[in-house]
Amino acid sequence: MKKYLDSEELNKIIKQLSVKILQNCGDNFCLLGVRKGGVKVVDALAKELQNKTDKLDVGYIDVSLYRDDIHKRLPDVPLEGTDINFSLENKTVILVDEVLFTGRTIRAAIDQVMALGRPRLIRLVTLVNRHGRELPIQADYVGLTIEESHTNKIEVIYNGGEDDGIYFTNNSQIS
Amino acid sequence: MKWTKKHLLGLKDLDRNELNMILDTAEGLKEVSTRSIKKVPALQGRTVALLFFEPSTRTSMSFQLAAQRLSADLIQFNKSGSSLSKGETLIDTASNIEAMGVDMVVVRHSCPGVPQILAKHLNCAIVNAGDGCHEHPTQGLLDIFTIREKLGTLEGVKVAIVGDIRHSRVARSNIFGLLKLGAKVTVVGPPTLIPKSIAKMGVEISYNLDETIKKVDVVNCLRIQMERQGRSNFPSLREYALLFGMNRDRLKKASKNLVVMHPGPINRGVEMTAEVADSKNSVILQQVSNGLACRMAVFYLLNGSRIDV
Repeated sequence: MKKYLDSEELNKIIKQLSVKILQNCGDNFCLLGVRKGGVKVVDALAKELQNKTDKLDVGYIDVSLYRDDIHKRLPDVPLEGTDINFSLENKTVILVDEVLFTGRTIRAAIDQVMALGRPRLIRLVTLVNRHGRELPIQADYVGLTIEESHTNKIEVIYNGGEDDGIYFTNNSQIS
Repeated sequence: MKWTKKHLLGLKDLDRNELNMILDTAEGLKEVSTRSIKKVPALQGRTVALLFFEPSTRTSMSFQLAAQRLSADLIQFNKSGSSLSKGETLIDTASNIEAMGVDMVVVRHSCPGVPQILAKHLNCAIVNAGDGCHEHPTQGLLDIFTIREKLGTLEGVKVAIVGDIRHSRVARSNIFGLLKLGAKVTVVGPPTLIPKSIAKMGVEISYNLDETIKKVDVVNCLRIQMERQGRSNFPSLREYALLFGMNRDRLKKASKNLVVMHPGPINRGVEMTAEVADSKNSVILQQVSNGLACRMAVFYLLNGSRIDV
C-alpha cells in the first residue's frame, strides 16, 4: 500500500470542501454520511462547519438495504443502520462519501433519502472522485480526482492519527 | 465476517459470532419501523411462504410484517381446508409450494424436527417458527435482543426462566442462545415441569422463585401450555400462580431494575399478575417490537446466504 496523500493535505481538502458547502448550500442544509466510508468524512466536515453555522444537522445512512446487488452478494454485516434524527423535508441534503467510483452506492443513497422525506435539493460531496462510473451520477463538490485502474484499491484513513492519508497501489495519476 | 448459514433451524446450530451478527443486524433494521414509510427494497422480487400448521397470532403476524417491510411477496398456507386434509404428505405440500418459486419457507409445526426435514428436501431457505417442544429460534433471538437492549450486555447477566420448561421450545432456544453469549441461566418451576436432564445444558435448577428472584437481573415467565400437557403437572392454576407467578411481593424482593419478560400470550393472574405485566419493569411490548426487527434480520441474512459465491 502506497501513501498518496498525507494528513496535512487531507485536512486542507476537508477545509476546502467545507468552504464550498458554506458558499453554495445556504443555511437550510444537513449532512448525511454514507456508511461506511462517508462517516469519517462527514464527521470531519461537521467539525469544520460546527462553529460556522447556527445549527448543523448530521446523520448517517446505511444503503445496504437499497443496493442493486443485494441478491448477488453476501450481505453486509453487521448492518449499521440509518441514523437520522431530523426531518429531511425541504432541506438541502448533502450526501457525503469517501470515494465516488461506479455511482451505484450513491444511487442507493438517493433512493433511500427519497424514501425518508422530500428534500428540496440533494447534493453530493466526495473526498475522492475516481473514474469508472457505471451510472450517470456526478459529485457537486470533489476533494480530488484520481485516475486509477479498476483492479487497484483506494483507501482513505482518517482517524486523527499519524497514518491519516489516502493510499493506493501503483499506476495512478492525478488530474 | 460473512453470514453463510442457509437455514435458521435452531439457536443450537449457531455460534456466538452468528448470534451477535443477527442481533447487530436487527439493531440496524429496527430503525426502518420508525420511518413514515416503513418499507425497504431489500427482498424485492423474493417470495416468502408461511406454513403454519399450528395456531399463531403474534409470531405469524410478525413474520408477515417482517417480510412485507423488506418488500418480499408473501403467500400463506392454512392447515384447515388445505390438501393435507385430502391425505397429501407434508413434504409433498411443501414441495408444491416451493415449485411456485418460493425462496424462503417459514414453518411452524407441532412435531419437533419438521423444519429439519423440510431443509433436507427443499432447496429454499427454511426458518423454524416453532417445532413442537424443540426450538423457537426467533423467539429466543428477540428475548435475547431485548435483554441486550435493556441491559447493554449479556455477559454475566443472570436470567431466570420460569414455568413449563419441559414443554417449552422458547426455553430451549433461550438457553442455547443466552449461554453462548455469556449469560447465566436458572430455570425455575415445579419439579414436574423441569426435566432433570436440563442441567446438562449448563443451567441451574431452582424450585423456589422467591429465592431465585432476589439474585437475577431478568425474569422470563413462560406461558403454561395446557395444549402440550397430556396430563396435569400441577394441582391447580391457582397453586401454580401462588408458587411461580410473578406478583407485587416478588417484584419487591427483586432488584428494582429487574427486567420482566413474557413471550405471550399472557395468562394474566397465572404466570404474572396484571400489575406486574403493566409495571415499568415489564418489557413485554418491547419484545413484540423487537421480534419484528429480529425476523427482518433473519430474512435479510438468509436471503444473502442463498447466493453462490
